[in-house]
Amino acid sequence: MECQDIRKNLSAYLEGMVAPEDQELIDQHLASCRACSTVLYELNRTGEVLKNLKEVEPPPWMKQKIMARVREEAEPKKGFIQKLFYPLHIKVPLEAFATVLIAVVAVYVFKAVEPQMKDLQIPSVREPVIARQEAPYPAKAPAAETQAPPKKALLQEGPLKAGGKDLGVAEKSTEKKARVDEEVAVKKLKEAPPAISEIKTLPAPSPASPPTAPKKEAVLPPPAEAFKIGESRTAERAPSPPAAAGVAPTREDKMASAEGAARERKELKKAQPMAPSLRMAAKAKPEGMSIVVQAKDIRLAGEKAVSLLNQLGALRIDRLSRESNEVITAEIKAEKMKELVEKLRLLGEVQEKDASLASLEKDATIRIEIVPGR
Amino acid sequence: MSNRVEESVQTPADDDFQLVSSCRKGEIDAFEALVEKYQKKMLNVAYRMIGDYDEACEVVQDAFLSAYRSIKKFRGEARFSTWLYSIVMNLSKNRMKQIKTRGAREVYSIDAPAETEEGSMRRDPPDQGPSILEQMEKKEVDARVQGCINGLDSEYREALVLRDIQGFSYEEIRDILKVPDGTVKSRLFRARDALKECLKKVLGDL
Repeated sequence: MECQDIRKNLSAYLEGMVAPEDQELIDQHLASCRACSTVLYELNRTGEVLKNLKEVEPPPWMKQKIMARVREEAEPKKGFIQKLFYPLHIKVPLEAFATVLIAVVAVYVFKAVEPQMKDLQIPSVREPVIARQEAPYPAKAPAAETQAPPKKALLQEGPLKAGGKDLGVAEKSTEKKARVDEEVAVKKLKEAPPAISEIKTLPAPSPASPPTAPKKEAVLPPPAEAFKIGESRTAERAPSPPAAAGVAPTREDKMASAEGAARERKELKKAQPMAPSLRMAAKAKPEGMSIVVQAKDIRLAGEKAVSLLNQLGALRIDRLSRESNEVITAEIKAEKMKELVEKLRLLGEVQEKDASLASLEKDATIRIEIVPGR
Repeated sequence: MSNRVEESVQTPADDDFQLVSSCRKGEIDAFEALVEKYQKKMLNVAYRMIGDYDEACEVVQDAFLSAYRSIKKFRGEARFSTWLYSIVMNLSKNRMKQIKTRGAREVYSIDAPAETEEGSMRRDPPDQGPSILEQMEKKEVDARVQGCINGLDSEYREALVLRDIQGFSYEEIRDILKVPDGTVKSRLFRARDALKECLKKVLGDL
């Protein structure tokens, strides 16, 4: 063996990792070769030096630091934002999708509920209003057309019910009274048949629109229905609607008295059937009263009444100006009602109708009709 | 050179088995016991590999954290310590590369005169008086030896550290480094030879 080969194996030789025959060869060589012996010695010393290297001590904080990081890892206390948004590539699209979904559902729900909500809302369109006979304005054609029906309805109340017509709750409750009144009216008609024309009605713009009127105040039927009734009735008696319109102004002077007409009108209203939607609205607003104010200047009085309502903290104030009258509806607290009526007296003669102040509780719907007067 | 082999002979059964299975169940205290047990050994391996105490500390922390994260994947094919050493070794080698690319590391050249506080050392033949090794303080010797280790290529270095400093058996080194026995042997020979030459230069004689 050459020195080179011997030296290659010296490392393994030191550790006793060489084959026994090699071991013998190396032993023999080392005995004779001083250079290789030196190399072996140096290698041995190198090992000793390495072995004697002083071990380093870990810093005292190292274990704590490691464990702190490990505990952090074990209980990942993610921040609120991190929980919400991380990992971004998963949660952000998910959240975006959820947002869109919520928006879509919200729109659908709103659209589904909207029609029902409309039913409950106070309509912007007014219910038919009864004009007073003293109205200085000449009756208009559409108004004239519908003059007859109320009376007819009154007269034919019995047959209507027998025919299974849909009659209002309010009507049923006042049925008895209406019958009595009917007789009175019929008697009056006999005395002065065209007196019916004293009662003028304005047509309802929309039959489906619920009334703002209080429960006790029944509403006129839609024109269509009124006409139907009218047709069935024309055979009996009473002039045709246009004819009635024609006579209306001329009968004015024949009217017995304003009070009588008012009473009759009231009775008429009670007897009339209500459209279903109207009844619903009436049920929703059980409290209410109607006030009629006679004023010289109805426009001015209307404005004053509105500002008065505002002062008293009324809600949903709605004013409808017409040539013949001013109708204001509003929701007002019952305790303010008395004050309101007192102040309205300053504007003109006040008639309270349909409900007494004492019977009102909490919020009530008030309907103020301002008509031209003394 | 082989004294330590006997010391480090371990039973084939992993005596860390209990602690490791506790760790897998999420018992942090068990892991703390393992940290306590191995932190010094790991630090020394890392330190000898890297040659920088602070860097070695960081590597050891990272290694334990990495071990904790993947302890559930540890199936016990090797001993826990072997597995942990291989983590430390890999992280140390990565750190060495980083340091090298940073250019912040000055390695000892085998041929250049060794630098000491007193200046450049001459390559004198050994004289008759007490050897330089004996005159120098232990600390100083360690620093020079470490300098020579740092001068070795990482593949020689890891074999040398594991065998001659940590005293692992060839089988263990093979497991840790995942290289065949023959490779371990040849790397060791080259590492020792190179180191011997370096030490002769920096220490004067052996």
